[in-house]
Amino acid sequence: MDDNILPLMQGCLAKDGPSWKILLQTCTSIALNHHRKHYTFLTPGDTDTIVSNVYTKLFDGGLGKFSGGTKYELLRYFKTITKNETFSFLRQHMKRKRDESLDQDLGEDDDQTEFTHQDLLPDNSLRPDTIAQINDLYRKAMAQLSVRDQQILLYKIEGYKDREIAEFLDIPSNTVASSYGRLKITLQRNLVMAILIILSGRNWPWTTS
Amino acid sequence: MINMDLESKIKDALKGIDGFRTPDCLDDSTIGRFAENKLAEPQRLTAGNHLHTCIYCMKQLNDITELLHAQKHPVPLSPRLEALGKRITEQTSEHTQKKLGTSFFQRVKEMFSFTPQQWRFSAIGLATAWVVFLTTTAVMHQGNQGADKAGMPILDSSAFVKVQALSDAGTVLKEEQGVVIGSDGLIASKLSPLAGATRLQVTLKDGTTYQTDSLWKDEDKNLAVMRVGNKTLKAIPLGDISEIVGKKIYAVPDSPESSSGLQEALASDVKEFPGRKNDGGPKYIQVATQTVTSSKGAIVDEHGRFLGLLITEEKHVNLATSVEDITKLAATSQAIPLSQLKQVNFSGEAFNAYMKGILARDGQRWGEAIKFYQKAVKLNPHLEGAYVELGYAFYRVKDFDREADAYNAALNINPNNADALFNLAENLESHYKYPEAIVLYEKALAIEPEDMEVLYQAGLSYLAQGNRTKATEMYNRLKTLDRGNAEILRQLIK
Repeated sequence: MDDNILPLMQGCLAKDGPSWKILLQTCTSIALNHHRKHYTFLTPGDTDTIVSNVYTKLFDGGLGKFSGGTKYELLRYFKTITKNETFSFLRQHMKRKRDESLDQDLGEDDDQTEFTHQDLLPDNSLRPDTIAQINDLYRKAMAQLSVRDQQILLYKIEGYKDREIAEFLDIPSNTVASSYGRLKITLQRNLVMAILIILSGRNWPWTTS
Repeated sequence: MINMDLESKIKDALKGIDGFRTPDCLDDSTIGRFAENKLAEPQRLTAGNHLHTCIYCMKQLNDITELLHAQKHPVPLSPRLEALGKRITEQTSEHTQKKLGTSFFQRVKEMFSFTPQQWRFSAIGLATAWVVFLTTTAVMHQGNQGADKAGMPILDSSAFVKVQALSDAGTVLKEEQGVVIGSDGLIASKLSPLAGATRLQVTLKDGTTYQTDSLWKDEDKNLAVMRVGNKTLKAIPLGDISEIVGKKIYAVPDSPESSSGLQEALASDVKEFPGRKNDGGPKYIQVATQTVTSSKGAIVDEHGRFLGLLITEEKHVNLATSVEDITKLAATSQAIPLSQLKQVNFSGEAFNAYMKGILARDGQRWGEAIKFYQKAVKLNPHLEGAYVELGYAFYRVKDFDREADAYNAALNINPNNADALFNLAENLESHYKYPEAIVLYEKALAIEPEDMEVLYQAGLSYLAQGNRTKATEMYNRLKTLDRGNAEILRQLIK
């Protein structure tokens, strides 16, 4: 996919076959990746159903609703559609399960529940004071880390494996491991210093701006 | 420990990452270009500085990096998805191929070819439109049928004229609708607007004007009838009010054009004088409607036949004189000189009080009725009907002396008022004043020789006086009219 997605979008809206091929291929990759990472409990059949739904949605006019102009926005749009379709699939699935469990013996069904309502919950929103507190801590702790190190840290915290992170950032996976080990030490030092500085009442040296 | 704390805090932050967004945050395109190292140096520096301290943008950077990776490394598709993708691609490719040689007809054809979802909406849209069309047609058809069956009457608008009350100087004081009730030039109209006029001018539909000097009036009915010097006027056909109650009637607006503007109404009651069992005669037609609030104009039946004139001037009190009274007026009374219009202290208010009295009487609210009648006769002492009604109301509250006074007052205005004569006679009878009563009965019989009630009561009075001959005479006159009462009288005479 080119950076300029305009010809692609025009092609798709004009029902041009090759354009759709590129679009669907990209979209599928994103959807499958997303599922592989976040919805491990879904069977390959479930994933196929969801992706088919995404196709249908895009083909039936969903693409016309896309208002962005860059590749990155389009990629995120694909992800959002995938997310929404997954949610609605899970919701239906849970409803079906519940209906079935009403017909059957309730005890038998307990172990078969594959996902819980927790999976459907939207992101937790935090209180403003907590946000401010975390922001403050984050800035102080990250001050000496490079953007690349921060990316590694966030990926690690989100549970990505070294190999995946290495693929995303296009670096050897050993580099990821060593970077993470190093940045942890830096972080610790930064935080200890932060506490010492807070205790001594002095200004934070790295946030001079 | 500290590390653990930071990690858990960042974990929390990632869950509710949208809360960390600030107005300064970078957009997806900038972050994407940053990730792909495509930003020019000054922008890259600015973006890097922001990213450094913003957990939200850092998360977006990671997301887009992941998306870019997914885009660049396509995963193998399952057979099902591959088939679906192929189908879509083929479908669209066919579309493209077709497009290459697009002719005008193909374009037209394409206008009517939809995707499956569009078909769904089109089908629903078409079905809805069809249902709406059918319903509308059915309703309109129904409506037309109703109109044909009961519909608006067709009126000859030339039967409606304009009656103008002119002052000395010739200025128009008031205008009122007039109805041509006789082809010999008889025109009926409401009386109250004409009060105070010096001259009356009638304007026909075609613009011809006539001055009139023959006028009849009935203050009780708020009715004026006049004659113009044109014997070839087209008169409105006259209707019958004998079975009017409950029927649909129509109020005619000021200047009717065929059937347009007619207001549908219902004849809800016919008000008669309550003191008489028979032959009291209908006096007023009560018009029930939601639309006729200003009581003016003629009322017609569904065939456009004249039924009467709306005479009240108060909203929500809709009473009309009957066509019988209107046609009778010129035939049974003397024409008055126009100069009388000057003297008439007739007021709409008096008449309204009178009508309200009638409505109160119908509701058996005698005290209220008496008050209204008294107000009416105080405002216009010429209302003989109001006096008769007042007498009857006094009778109902057992105030017999004032009852007699009221009838006498009515007889002072019109010595030939049959209702007043009869009721006063009965009043006298109850005081054992038979000779006086008999005088009045005879007077009433002179006016209306076949009044059954009068015949019967007169027979009883003659009997009470021991005059069997006269009583037998009454019986003989009555037996063909009212066999029941006649038989009672015969038994008593024996």
